[in-house]
Order: sequence, then structure tokens, then C-alpha cells
Amino acid sequence: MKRWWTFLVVLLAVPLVFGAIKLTLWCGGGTERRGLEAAIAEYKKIRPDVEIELIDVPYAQFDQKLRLAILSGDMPDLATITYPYAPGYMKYMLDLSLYVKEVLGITPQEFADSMYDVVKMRVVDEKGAIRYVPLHFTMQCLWVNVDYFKKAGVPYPPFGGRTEPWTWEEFMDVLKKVKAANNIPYALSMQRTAERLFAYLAIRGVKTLDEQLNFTLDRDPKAKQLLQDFVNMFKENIMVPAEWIAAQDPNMALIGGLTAVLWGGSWNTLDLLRVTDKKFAPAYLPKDVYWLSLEGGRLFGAFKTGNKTREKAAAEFALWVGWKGKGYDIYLKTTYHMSAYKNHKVDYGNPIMDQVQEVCGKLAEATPKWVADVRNSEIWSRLQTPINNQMSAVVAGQMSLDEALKNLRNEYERIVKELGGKR
Amino acid sequence: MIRKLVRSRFLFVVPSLIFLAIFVLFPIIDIFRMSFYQWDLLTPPMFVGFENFRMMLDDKWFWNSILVSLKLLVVSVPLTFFVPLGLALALYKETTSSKILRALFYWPYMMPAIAGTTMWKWILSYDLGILNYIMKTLGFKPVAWLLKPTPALVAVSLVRLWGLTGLLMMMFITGLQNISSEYYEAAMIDGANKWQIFWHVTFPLLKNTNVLVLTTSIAHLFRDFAVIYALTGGGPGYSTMVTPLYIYNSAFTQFRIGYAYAMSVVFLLISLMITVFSIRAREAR
Amino acid sequence: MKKIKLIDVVKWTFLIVMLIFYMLPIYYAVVSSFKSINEIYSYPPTLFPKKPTLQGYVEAIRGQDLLTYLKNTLFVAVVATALTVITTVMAGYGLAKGEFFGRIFLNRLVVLTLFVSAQVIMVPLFVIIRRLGLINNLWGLILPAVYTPTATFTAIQYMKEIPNELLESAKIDGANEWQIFWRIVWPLSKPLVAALTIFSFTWRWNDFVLPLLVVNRRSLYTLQLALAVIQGEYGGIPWNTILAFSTLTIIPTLVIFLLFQRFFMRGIMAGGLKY
Repeated sequence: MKRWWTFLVVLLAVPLVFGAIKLTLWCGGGTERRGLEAAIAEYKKIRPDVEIELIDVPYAQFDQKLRLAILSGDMPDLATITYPYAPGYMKYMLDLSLYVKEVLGITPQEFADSMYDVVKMRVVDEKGAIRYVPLHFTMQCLWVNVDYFKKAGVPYPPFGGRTEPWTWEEFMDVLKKVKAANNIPYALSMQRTAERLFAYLAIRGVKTLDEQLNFTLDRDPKAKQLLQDFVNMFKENIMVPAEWIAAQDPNMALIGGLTAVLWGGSWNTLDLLRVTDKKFAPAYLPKDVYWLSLEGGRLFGAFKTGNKTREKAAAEFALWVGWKGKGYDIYLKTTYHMSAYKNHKVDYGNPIMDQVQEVCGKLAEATPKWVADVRNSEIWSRLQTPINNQMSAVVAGQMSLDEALKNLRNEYERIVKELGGKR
Repeated sequence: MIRKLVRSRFLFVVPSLIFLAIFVLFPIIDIFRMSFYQWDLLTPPMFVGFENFRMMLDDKWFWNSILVSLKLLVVSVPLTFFVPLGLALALYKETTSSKILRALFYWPYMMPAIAGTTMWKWILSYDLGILNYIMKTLGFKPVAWLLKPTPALVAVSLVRLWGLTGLLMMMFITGLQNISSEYYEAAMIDGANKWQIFWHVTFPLLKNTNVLVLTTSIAHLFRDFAVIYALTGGGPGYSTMVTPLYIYNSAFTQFRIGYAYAMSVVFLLISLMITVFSIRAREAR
Repeated sequence: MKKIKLIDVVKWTFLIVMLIFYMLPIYYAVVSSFKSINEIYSYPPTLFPKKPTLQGYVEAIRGQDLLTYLKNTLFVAVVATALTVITTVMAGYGLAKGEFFGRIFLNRLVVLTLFVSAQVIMVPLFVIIRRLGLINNLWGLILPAVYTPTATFTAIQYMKEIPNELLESAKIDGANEWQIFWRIVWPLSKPLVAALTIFSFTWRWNDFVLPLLVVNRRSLYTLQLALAVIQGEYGGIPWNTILAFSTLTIIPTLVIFLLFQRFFMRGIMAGGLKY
């Protein structure tokens, strides 16, 4: 009798094993891998017929490797995609809108509309096809050292005794006050990236690239003034020169207690939670001419591999792992990233994540459309390295601002020429 | 025919030559070919003739990077010559202590470059580094290692020295062990002191090793950028932006592949010229 | 009492100063791998962990199949090193002492290849490796690495030092080329073989570009690839974890260096340094 049972079990197992659909998924290692690993383990319970092999590719070389794979036709079924490069890959990705109704039971429109607008713009292409789902979504925000602010008696928005964001002047006063009260060498940490500079300028009313993707910094007298103010913040030891000159990790100064505020973002949560001897809290970016923040991170999509069975299975997994209430929640809980969906409550088991979601969600809603639009361009993705280097030279006192702006103008013209237009 | 090939010792070269042809020569030829294309590694390559080379003429950061590479050559290459030579002279004899010390000095070369360099970055950090902390405790002024062009260049040279010594020291030791002890004995009998022996016997006999170390050090500088990438990222500004790093950034952060290849071709020729020149200059001395 | 010689004082002062310089970052890395996150970023920095913790190591090896990576790395390093050493010593001899047409040209070509970085040729190299069917195959990490410019150039320069008279006299004694190589050149090359073995082993152990190109499967990861992957995106993975993993990869190399040295240097002493 027992033998018969074994025979039956084997018989039933055969189609299951042979019918298993094998998918490969490339991700960028680190926390991203952990998050996807957790989600895949859960997916296996729902869909035992789908087997997903997770391959983590070094983050710094991810795009090199992905492009080589596309070049040779060996692309994975599923992959995470870095924000600035996402537009370039769209034409290789499946249109997920064809599967939304079947998998999620809602219309593609409803699916897209439930995301923050800054996310929606990134996942839907010009023809209305959905090429990505959100995964590791980030927004810039401030992180404050709670003890330093307490000691200085300064409230911070929105969870530190103040509801409204600071104006720029107020923000500067706050930084000086907290710095003096705690007798620390600097006040504000900020990573050297063009994205931070873009945010600073935009908040104070200057567009690095305008809606037609024209470079305007050297034509706008106000831009020059704001950039000069920016450089002065280093001279007055409000910001940390080593961070913009030598690309020092800004977490070091904040966690080491040398600064009171980090201009970082939602992605810092996991790093800062690991620090047990200090307390940090997320806060609004200041509000001047505009109130805004910049989005970033990584998207997720399924490649057109030509194999219909695998394509379908890949699309189904992508929608599952990218939709609120499903795999996405598991991913978020593991990685402590914020959600890309409006009004999406995730039980992180840690109140700080609710604060991050609230702060960054508010900022995401406040952000005007042009901010994401302009940065969704090829020009911006290529202009970032020159901006980093030129501003680094200005902060180091090696170059005048005028000269840097002139150089950036040349770089811009060159990029436009190489791209054969403004796109 | 075969006999002639054996006689001429050509057959000894063949196995290596096959690997060289497939895995190095073909790719190099491909680089030359693709330097006439505009390509982002995603959309199909577009033939642009000499446009990449013309663009290079206007690209002042490319020429600046060559200047930086040359500056670094002047600071860094003598360091990476004499320090490993000194260590090799102290350690080439087969005693237990020198065997252990050799392993320790070789160790940094075995360390993953990014991890090793990041340690230096922490140590040298202006505000947070242990070096400046010790300086301050002792009452000296902290040094802005990575914040000013000249100190940054010095810091890069020192960290390169740190990482490269293992390789170059072992090259010297191999060369020293290749010298027959008869030479020393003859010199000893003539009553020469150690300094004289070194200067008049050892150093001239090391001629081929010297060329080896010098060329390796220059080639490494003109090929590798891991230390600079992790230590200064090319900064402050462009002051440590050497050509290989500039090429890498163009190729793999901006994905201007064709242009990066064109720069590689030109830079390859320039580096060869410099090497030939410096070897000649050394030999003429 | 033995007189202390000035030269020894100079030598040991130099060695000790240098040792501090060379060991400082390694010491700092190893020590930091035992620090907690609080301490790793704390100011003033500490030279010794106040509360040593294995937190970094636990994180580093969590979910990692270190034994598989080690096995892959060792296989690649050992096989590639054996192939490199044999072909390179032969090529060095042929290129330094050969008398064939094109020898000078090939010597120049070797110098040229010294200047070619793996990063620059990685795209065409990938195409070739793929055409040879070596993707997802450990041989794809070995074969492209057999010819190594630095090793070949080292061998050429070494072989140049071998006196021609020695080879000539063997020839007169009736030895053929093969015998000359194995009986005279190879024994004289022990220091070279030792150096090339150590170099080649180091290169393969630390190689990152080839694994990146060739491997698409976790079961084929090498230690360096696993290290690159663990670093992940900006933030998320703390530095004590990365340093713990680095420490795990550099300890074996030191042991291997010491073992190699013992093994080869004994051979040298047996063979004698004279010719």
C-alpha cells in the first residue's frame, strides 16, 4: 500500500517539477537582495510552479553588465533598474499593463494612479504602457540629531514640535543656533551629488534645466547668487568641505556627531537605525520659493525575452512584488524603504518608518511635475558627473564660479550635440 | 622547418601567444575599430568617422587628465622605485625574519583595493581621521590631506606606494636573487664596502629588473584607477583625475563608449611613448 | 660583546618605520571589522574596539555560501596559476633568448599590453568569451587570464640575465633545446617561478572583472565577486560588515604566501644560487 502512495506522489510531482517555470532575476546586491529574497520565499508558497533564481550583480557595475546582457540577447527575465537609466531600458521591457487586470483585478489606470505622481511619471512611457513597477523608491528629506536639537531648544518639523517647514532663512538660523548650542564644528552634512544641488537650487526657485531642457544656470543672475550662497556655507563651516571636495561619506560626520543635520533621504533609515547611541528623526526639507524633494532609487521590470510562458510568469511576479499589500510589503519591511503608493500603510514594526513615510510622502505630493520631468531626461543623467566635479573644484577654491558655469555650459552643449537633440 | 622553429626557440612562445592573441589582441583591435563609432552600449553603434578624435581635441578635461597623470608620474614613480628597492635590499636574504617581513610587506598588495583605500580615506580624513586627531593631540595643525590639490596628489602617491610595494619589492628580490654571489665575493675580496658594492656591482647588474619595475610602475599608473577612484574620486575638482579614471567615467557612468575607446587609443600611444622615453633616459644615465 | 653595526641600525629603523606605514590600514581594517556601528563612526576614532563585537561577521556570512565561493576561487587561482607560470616562463625564455623573426616585435607587443586595462577591453572581451561558450563556466575565469602582461614582462626581464655562454656550452655538449630548457633554464628560474606563482595567485584571488563578466550564477561566485555584491547600493550595508568580509578574504592569502615561500625557497636553497 505504502508503495502505491509513493508511486502516486511521484506521479503527481512529475508534472510539477517538469512544468516549473524557471526565471532569473538580477538585482544589485546588499539590502536589495535581502528584500527580494524575502519576497521570493513568500511567492514560492503561492506559486510553487515558478522558480526564481536570484542573481545579485555588483551595484556599481550593474548597468555595464545589464547592457552587455541586452547586447548579447541573454537578458534576465526580471531586473531592478537604476533610476537615471530607466528611460533608456523602457523599450526592452514588457508592457505590464496587459497583465494588470488579470493579476491584480484593477485597471492599469487605477494601478498607475495609486502611485505618487513622481513615480507614475517614471513607470509609464509616452504611449501609456506600464514598463516598471516601483521597488526601492526614495525621496530626499532631512535627518536631525534629536539630542542636539533638544539641547539647543529648537523645534523641527513635523514631529519635533513644529508643523510648518522652515523657510530658507529660518533653516539657516536654525543650523547656526544648533551648531553654537552644541559647540560642534559644522551643522549640515550633504553628499556630493548633483541631485542635492538640484534640490537646493529648485527649492530656492532656480531650475538647473528648464522645462525645455535648456541649461539656465549661467544665464540667470539669481542662480549665480544662490550658488555663491551654497559655496559660502562651506566657507562659514555650516557644511562640511570634505564632503564636497573629497566625496567623504556624509553619514560619518552625522553619526560621529560633527553635524546636527543630514540632507539625505528615506534611504538612510536603515543606516541610522543601526546607530544605538544617538537618536535621529526625519524632517521636512525647507520651503522657499518651492517646496519639493527629489525622487530616486530603483524600479523593477520584466524583459521581453521572446518566450511567452516565461514572459507571462515574469510579468505576474513583477506585478505581485510591486503592488501594495502583496510582495511589495514584504520587500519594504525587510529593507526599510518607503512606499511608492499614496495612503499605503505598511506595518514596519518601527514607528520611525511611519514618520519617514509621512515626511517623504508629503514632500512627494508637494513636488511640482517639472522636477521629475526634467530629471527624467538623458541630458540630466549625463550632466551629473560634470556638475559634481565642477562644484567640487569651486568649493575647494580652485576655480571661480564663473569659470565653472562656463565649463558646464560647454559640457551641456556637447551633450546636446552628442544626443542629437534635447532629450 | 619544425627543427628550425625549435632551434629558434619560437615554439616556447606559442602557448602564450595563442592566449595573447585571443584574449588581448583581438579585443584591442576591436577597441581601435569601435573608436570610430558613437555607441552607448544599448542602441546600435553609429559610425561617426573621426568625430570622436576631433571631440577629444576640444575636451580640456581629457588633456588636463593627461597633465595630472604626468604630475603623478613625477611624484609617484620615483617613490614606487626606491622604497621597494630599499625593502628588497633589506629582505632579499633567506632568513626567517625576512621571510615573515616580506609576507607582511606584500600583504597590502593582496588586499582588495577598495577596502584598503577606504581605510586610508578614513585615516586621512580631515575632520574624522585618526591621523589628524593624533596631530591635534600632539599640538600640531591638522593637514588637509584630501582637500587641497598638492596634498591630495601626495596622498594618492603614498597610497599607491602602499598598495603596489608588494609587487615591486618581489620583483626586486627576484632580480637580486638572480645575481650570482660570485660577483659579491669578488668585490669583497677587492675590499669594497657595502655601499660601494651596491652602487658599483649590484645596481648595474639589476639593469633589467630596474626596467621591469619602472615600466610596471608607469603602466600601473596609466592603467589602474582603483586607488584614486576610492580615495579622492578625482578631486578636489579635477586635480587627481587621471586619464584612466576619466576614461572609465566616460565609458561607464556616462556610457560614451566610442569616445572612451578613442581616448584609450590615444592614451595608449602616449603612454608607450613616455615609457620608451623614460627607459631610454634611464639607460643613458 | 658584538659590535652593533651602523648599517644594521639604519636597516632596522627603516624596516620598522615602513612596517608601521604598511600595517596601519590593515590593522585599522581588521580592528574596525570588530567594532559596532556606533564605534566605527565615532569621533574621536579609536585604535582598539572598546566593545569588540562579531556583528559584522555575522552579517557578512549570513545567507552566504562561503565554502562554495572559496572552492571556486581556489580552483580558479590554482589552475590559472599553474597554466600561467608554465606558459610564462617558457614565453619569457623564448622572447628573451630566441632567434626567430619578429622577436623584437613580440617583445614590444608585450610592453604594449601592459598598458591595456581590463576595464577598457571588457566589452570586446565579453563578446569573445561568450562566443567561446565560456559564460557561466569557471574556465571562463581561467583561460582569459593565462596570458598576463606583467608576468610575461617579468619573465622576459629575468631571462635576459641568464648568460648566453651557459646556453651555448650546453648546446656544444649536445643538449637539445628541450633539454636546455628543463635542465638549465628551469632550475635557474626558481626565484622567478616563486615570484610568478605568488603574483598570479594574488591576481586570480583578487580578480573582479572576469567574474563580473563571466558568472551569472550564485553557485559560481568567487570571494571577490561576493564581496562586491555584499556592498550593494549606497547605504544599507554598514562598513563593519564589508570589512569583516574583506578580512575573511585577506587572511588566507597571507597564509598562502608564507606556505608558497617556504616551499619554493627551500627549492632555491637546494638548487643553489650559482651558475
